[in-house]
Amino acid sequence: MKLDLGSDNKQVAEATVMHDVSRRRFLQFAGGIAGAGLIVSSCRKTPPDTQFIGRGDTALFNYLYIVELVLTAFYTQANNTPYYGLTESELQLLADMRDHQYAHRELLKKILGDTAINRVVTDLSPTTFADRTSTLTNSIFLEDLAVAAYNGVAQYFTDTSYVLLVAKMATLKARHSAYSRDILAANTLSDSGVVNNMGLDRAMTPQAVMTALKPWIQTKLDFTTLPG
Amino acid sequence: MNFNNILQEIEKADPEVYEKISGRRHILKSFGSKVALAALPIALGSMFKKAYGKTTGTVISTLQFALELEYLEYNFYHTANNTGSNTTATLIPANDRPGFAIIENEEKMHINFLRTTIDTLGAVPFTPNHYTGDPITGNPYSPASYDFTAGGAYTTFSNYASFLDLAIALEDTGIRAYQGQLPNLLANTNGIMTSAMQIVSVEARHASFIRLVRRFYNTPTFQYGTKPWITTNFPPSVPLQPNYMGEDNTVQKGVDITTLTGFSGYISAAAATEAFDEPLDEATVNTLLASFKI
Repeated sequence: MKLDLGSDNKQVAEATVMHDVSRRRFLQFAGGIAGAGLIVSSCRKTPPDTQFIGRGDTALFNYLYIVELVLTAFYTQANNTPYYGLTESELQLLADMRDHQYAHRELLKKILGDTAINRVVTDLSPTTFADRTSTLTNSIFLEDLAVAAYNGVAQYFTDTSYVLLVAKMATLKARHSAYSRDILAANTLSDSGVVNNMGLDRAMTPQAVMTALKPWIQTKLDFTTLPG
Repeated sequence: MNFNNILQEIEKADPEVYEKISGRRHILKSFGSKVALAALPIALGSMFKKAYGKTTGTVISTLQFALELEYLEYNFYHTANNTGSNTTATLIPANDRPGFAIIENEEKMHINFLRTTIDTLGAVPFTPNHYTGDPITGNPYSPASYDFTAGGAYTTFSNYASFLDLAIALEDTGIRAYQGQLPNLLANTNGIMTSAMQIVSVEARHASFIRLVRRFYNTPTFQYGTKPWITTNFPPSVPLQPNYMGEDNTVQKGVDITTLTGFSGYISAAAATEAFDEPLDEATVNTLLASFKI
C-alpha cells in the first residue's frame, strides 16, 4: 500500500510550499566567509526532486522527524484498517501508540519550525495491515529501529535539554516494542537481535537507520550531512 | 588564527581530545566550517570546558548510583523468581515465568556491565550494605541487603498483584532515575552516555512487559488494568503514588503537547503524558527506595 498526496491521510498532508531557505542561507553565509579558509564543504548539488535535511541540529531533528513520519503513517493506517482478530484491549492500545507518535512528530516539527522538511511521502507496502502477524512484526521492526535511532543520536547533541528529550522519547519506543512483541509471542520482551549479551539495547548511527528505513520512504532525501 | 593547527597541537598533547569533546572526530574536524571567525574563541572555550569540565568523579558516582539501582532490581527479581519454586505454589504463575527470568538475567547483565565499566575507570564498584562478595566478580544476590516488604507495608512475595505493582513502580522509577543522570554523562570520554541509554531502553521493555501482565491479572475488565505506558501520574497502587509525581507533565522544551494537533483534534493530556517518561533526580530516587534497603 502506497500513500500519496491525493489521499486524505494526515501523515502526508504536510505543507507543500517549497522551502530550502535554510540551505540557501547557509550557502550565502558560506560564500561570505569562504576567504577565511575555514569552509571545507559548502558546494553541494542537491537535485531538484531531492530534499536536503539540513545541517547540525537541524539535520538531527529532521532525521528524527522522518522516523516519526514513518511511525505516524504506519499507526494511522494500522488504526484505520485494523488487523483481523483485534481484541478490545489491542484496539485501545493501538490507538494509544498512534497518538504517542503524533505527539513525538508534532513536537519535533514544532522545534524545527520552518527548517522542517516540508513533505515526505511514506511507503507502507512492507505491511499487510489486515494481517495481525504482519502488522505486529512491522510494528516491532519500526519501534526497535526507533529505539536504536534515539539511543544512537543522543550523543551528537551538545544541548543537555535535547539529550533529555531524546531519552524521554526513546523509552516510549521501547515500551511500544516490548508490548507488540508480547502480544505477538508471550514473554518476548526483546530478542538477541536487539538486546545484546551485556543487556544493552541497540544504538545505531543515523546513516544506518536511514538505510533501514529506505523501503518505507518514497521521497528522495539528501541526508549526507548525518553522522555515519 | 589557524583552527586546524590548534587542534593538531592539542591532539599531540592529548590524543583523546576528539572523543572528549564529542566522541566523533569528524564533527570537530568540520567545526571550522560552521562557526564564524568572530565566534571562534567563545565556541572553543565552551567546547573545551565541555571536554574537561566534567570530572571522572562525576561520571563514576553516576555509574555507582546506576549500579545501586541494578543491584536492587536484580535482588528483587531473583527473590521473586525463587519464591515457592520448591513447591507448586510459586509466586509467579508458569505463564509469566519466562518473561521474569529474562528480566532477572538482564538486570544481572547490567550489574556486570556497570561493574566492569567502573573498574575500568579505576574505581571500586558499589556494593550494597551487608554484601560480602567480591565487588567485581561476586554473586550479586544479597538477601541481607533488602527488605522488599518495606517493613511489612507490602505483601510483595506472597501476593502476585502486590509483586507486580511494586515491580512496575521499581522499573518506572529506574527509568526515571537513569534519565535524570544523563546530563552527568554528557561529556564522557567512552560513550558511556550512549550505554546508559541502551540500558534504560531495556528497563523500559521490562516495565512494558510487567504492566501488560498486570493489565490482565486480577482486574475486572481491561479498562481498569494498567497500560504498558504511564498515564498522567497514575500509580499501579495508591501507596506507590510518590514514585509517579511529575509524570503528569505535558510540557516538553517549552511546548505544551496538548496544544499540538493529533490524529483527531488536539493531542489528549493522557497521550501527552504517556508519550514521554520524566526524569527524577538522585535525591528523590534515594528517598523513594530507602524503605527497601537494609
